[in-house]
Amino acid sequence: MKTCLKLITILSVFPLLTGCWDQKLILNSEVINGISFDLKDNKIKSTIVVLQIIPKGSGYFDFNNQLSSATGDSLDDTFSELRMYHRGPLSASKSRIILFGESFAKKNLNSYLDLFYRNPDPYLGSKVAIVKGLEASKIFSFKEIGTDPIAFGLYEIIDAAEENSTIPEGNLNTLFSLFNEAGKDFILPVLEQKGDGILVSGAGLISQNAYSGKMIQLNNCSLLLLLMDNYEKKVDLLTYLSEEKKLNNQVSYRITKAKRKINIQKDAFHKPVVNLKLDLEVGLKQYPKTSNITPKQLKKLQTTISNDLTKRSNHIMKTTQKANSDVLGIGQRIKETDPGTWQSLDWKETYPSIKINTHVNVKIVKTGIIK
Amino acid sequence: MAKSQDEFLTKDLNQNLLIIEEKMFHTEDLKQRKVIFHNKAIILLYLDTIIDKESIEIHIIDSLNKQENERIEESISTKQFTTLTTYKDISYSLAQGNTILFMEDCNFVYSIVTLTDEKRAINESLNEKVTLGAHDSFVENASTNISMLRKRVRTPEFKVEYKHYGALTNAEIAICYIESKVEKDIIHSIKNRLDQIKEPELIQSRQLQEVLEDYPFSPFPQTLRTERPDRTANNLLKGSVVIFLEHEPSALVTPVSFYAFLRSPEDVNSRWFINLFYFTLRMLAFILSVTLPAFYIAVNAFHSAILPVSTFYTLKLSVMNVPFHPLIEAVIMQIVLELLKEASVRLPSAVAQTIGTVGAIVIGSAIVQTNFISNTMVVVIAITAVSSFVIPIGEMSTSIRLMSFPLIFLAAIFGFIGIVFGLMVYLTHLVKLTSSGKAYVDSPKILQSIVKSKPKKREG
Amino acid sequence: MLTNKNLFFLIIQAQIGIGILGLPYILYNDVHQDSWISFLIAGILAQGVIIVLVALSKVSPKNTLYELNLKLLGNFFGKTLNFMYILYFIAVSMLLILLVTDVINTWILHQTPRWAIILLLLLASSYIAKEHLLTISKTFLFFSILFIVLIFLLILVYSKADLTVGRLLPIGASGFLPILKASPDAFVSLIGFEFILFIMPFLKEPNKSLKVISLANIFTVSLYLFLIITCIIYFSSAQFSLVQQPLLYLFRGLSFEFVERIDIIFLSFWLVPISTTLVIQLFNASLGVQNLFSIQRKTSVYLIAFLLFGIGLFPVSPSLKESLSSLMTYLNIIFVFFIPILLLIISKIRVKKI
Repeated sequence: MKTCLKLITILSVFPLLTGCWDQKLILNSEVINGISFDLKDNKIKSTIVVLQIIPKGSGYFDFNNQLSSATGDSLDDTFSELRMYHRGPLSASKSRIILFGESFAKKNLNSYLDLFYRNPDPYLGSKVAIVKGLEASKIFSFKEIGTDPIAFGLYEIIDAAEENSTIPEGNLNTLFSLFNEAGKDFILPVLEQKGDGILVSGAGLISQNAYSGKMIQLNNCSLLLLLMDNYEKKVDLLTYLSEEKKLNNQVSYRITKAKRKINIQKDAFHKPVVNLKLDLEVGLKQYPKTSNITPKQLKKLQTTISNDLTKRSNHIMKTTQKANSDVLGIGQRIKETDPGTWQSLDWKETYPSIKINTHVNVKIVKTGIIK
Repeated sequence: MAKSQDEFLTKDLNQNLLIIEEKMFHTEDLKQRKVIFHNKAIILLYLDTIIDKESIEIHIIDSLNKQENERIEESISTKQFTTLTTYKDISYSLAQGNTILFMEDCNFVYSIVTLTDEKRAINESLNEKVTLGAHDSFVENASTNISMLRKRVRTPEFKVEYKHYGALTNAEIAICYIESKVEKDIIHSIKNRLDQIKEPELIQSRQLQEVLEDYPFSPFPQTLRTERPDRTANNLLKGSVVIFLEHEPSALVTPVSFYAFLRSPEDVNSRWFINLFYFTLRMLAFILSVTLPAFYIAVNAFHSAILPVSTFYTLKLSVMNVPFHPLIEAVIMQIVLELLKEASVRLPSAVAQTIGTVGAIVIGSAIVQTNFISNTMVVVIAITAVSSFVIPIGEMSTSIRLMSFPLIFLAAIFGFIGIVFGLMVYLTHLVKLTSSGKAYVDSPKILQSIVKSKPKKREG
Repeated sequence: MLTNKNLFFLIIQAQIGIGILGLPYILYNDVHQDSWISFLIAGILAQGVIIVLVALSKVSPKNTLYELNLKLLGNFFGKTLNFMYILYFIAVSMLLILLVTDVINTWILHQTPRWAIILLLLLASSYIAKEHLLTISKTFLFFSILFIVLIFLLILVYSKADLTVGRLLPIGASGFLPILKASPDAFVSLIGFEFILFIMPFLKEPNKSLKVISLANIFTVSLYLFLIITCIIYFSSAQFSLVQQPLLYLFRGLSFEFVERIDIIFLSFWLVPISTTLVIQLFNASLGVQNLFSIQRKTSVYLIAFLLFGIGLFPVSPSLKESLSSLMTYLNIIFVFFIPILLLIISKIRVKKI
């Protein structure tokens, strides 16, 4: 009898409550799929894309991208206007992609993006990219990439670029830990429009949470990831066999094993000197001739590739120093291993001027399925 | 006449008969036969509807007519008989299907057991089917049922006790247990509880269940009602007590653990990993049927953020143009489902199939096409229903299906948090329950039981 | 009668609760990457306290602390101390309720009024707390599946996210004294083992209780350590000093093919271990009320729950909440550490006198 009474009280209490305070029916929710930010006349222009599905009966549907833009002085200022364009409460819980125009990216991103981290609603798995050459919002005027709606398509192409080791894996969440990480900067993918298509065209170097304006070109991206020791399973690189003849004179290879060693020493003026050694084992993918490669040729090929990669990686490191973007996290390493030196250095000033010696050593272990 | 309630028989045969007829309220199936035995008039009195006529002819009338023996006792010695001296005893004895033998000038009568032995043949169990294993099931006769158990458990320790309860119906209850396996306290408490049966009309198992259960208001059954002899025998061997009520084709098993409701005899009869698989499957079915509709409502109304983006749009597409709140959708769908289930149970089996088709195809697809209920809700409720049907005991299956309702309401108010608190209360309630003083839900010892049932390595 | 297994789960459920959500953040703001050392010290400290508590409860293993107090201190002082203990447990429950509603309101249900959440929490908790101790411990055993889920999720973090083990370096940079100073904060989150003072008479094997509670403590400490280390190598320094509930933030960043926001589900289910802590506080308090006012324990559970609900209706400003939690830190240490030691000394002196 007692248990019955209790059950009745428990059950009767809740229907009495006026209930459902936080209800947010899936039917009414308008979810943002992509957001872009541009800077225009010292004001932020936000553009959002909301996928509207049009049911065609029995499971078939069509979709439509609803674009809306607003300008304001802060992100939420723009959002308060954007909300007025939509039928239900806007939510960023399903955002796939966040794009920055070049001018916006050059601001301190950390402070601008605070909105995304302070609220529990936004999805932190969305990909982040910089748009070069055109306003970021213009990208959304493409209706679709392949068969995917634009926001999803962008997510997919960045995801694919990550799998090809062109850019490091990253999203809004990893960005949060990378912001303000002492002695470490990061890179963001750069999107460009070429003809009618959109592609990942390189890696933008971020310095002090702002885009430095400098980027690593597509052909060197994978090498940078190797130097950062942050690559996926598939890494392909290309090397010209000679400087003069360029047409059909490239060898391409896939990295099967990579080992990076960083050695930080101090020179006479207590400035760090970085020795970076990269040992690669590669398998050939393309060779300009379909013929036997003799062991002698192979040896020569190894030195050619090693020299080329050493030269290129030196160039990459120079670029990062010019951009003052310590993507390898050398500062962080000093902080961890030698806190005393770290305290005495102003890393922001120091990094561009330190000496970084890179050396790449390549060993060809496979020549494909033909010799 | 009223004052002659406990009066003893007189020597006057005719007066005796008159009083008895009065006692039986002149029921018209009360028949008499007259036989002369060594020049003495003998009257046989019986209720025509429940006695075995053949047995009266062969065993009583024939042997009396032969007049071989001097004494009546010897003539009817092929049957069990007792002697009675009061009118009241005689009338009750008649109601139990005995034949009363009156003699001239005699102030006592013989009551001879002649109850008809008519019963249904042993059929396959309808409600607890198995593909592999024994196919017999209990019938509406306690002694046949006990014989089915005895054939499985052939030991002198198998003990049966008969008791009669219910002042009006005078129902017979058989309590069976294995002396060495059962705990003395349990059997004692069960008997005590049975003695508390106050209702004069004891006719259904449920009435027994009510006195046997420690928490009769709990939604979960704490006594296992089964119609399978093999399941009963298994429990008997584990130390449970089995109670039969005459004319009920099922056994009541107590004490019993919650897990016993999730097991089919077929599982126990299989190799260990199939056993484990089915146990896990049934546990999953239990959890699904309790939580799935609530989970769906919570996701739909509160936490769509957790859905992967493609699922999110699929879901959104399916709920578009549906006018109802998911809570109402769920309740409607559950009710429709129960209606269909009831309809197919009540109808003759030939028509029931039509109901299945009508329900599944016509209502199922039409309700979606007319945008009354969303596609996903139909799927969710269907999965819930199928999961609950996996539970082998019908009583448990229904209560589990109904247990999803409070969670549905909680989910509609608080989302996941409501579900979690609901489940907390459910679990505490389940753990709190006892079945005849034994814990209902214990920490699952399934692994141990499987390890035990694993074939041992052969020596040598 | 509680078996050793039951005792183990009671203690870990008493220890692990809301603290796990925020502790790494509190510790990190004090001693950065050395939080785990602080925590280890707190764990060792807790082990010491456990030895004291078990010794105290073995002074008279047939009595709860409430009865022991009356024996040791006489009627008046004993009753006063008992009353203070009841107030302490009510205060602990109150703070717990405040913190839980706060977390729920910020993470999941933003608009749901506090009273509704408190009502739900108290209904469920008092439903469990009014049961027999054995039933409580059995339910806790089932609830402990959630710890396995937590460990599994933490391991998943290792496979999904980009972790920098180097963030643990340099070890011991904060200096010994600050590390030591941070450990009371960590110690407070380990509290829960004081439960032994109240359940000693219900144990089947009181002699083994020290071993079992130590094991429970080791389990809790290792779970916390694992979590703290995972958090340190997952979050960057600047990020860590911002996120108030690092555990939830950790899961917020994880997303899977089939579920994008694991943190919502996790937090919802984590309310179970949090309520178990509340259940134990309710149990302790109701035992005291039963002892002091001779009211049935079931009724006293409902009375206390009703009282808590009443207090819970008052609005609490964030600053007040902050000062309350720091006050509770001291109260915790006094009631779990100092008073038992004092009582132990008194009991030893008394025994000698006799």
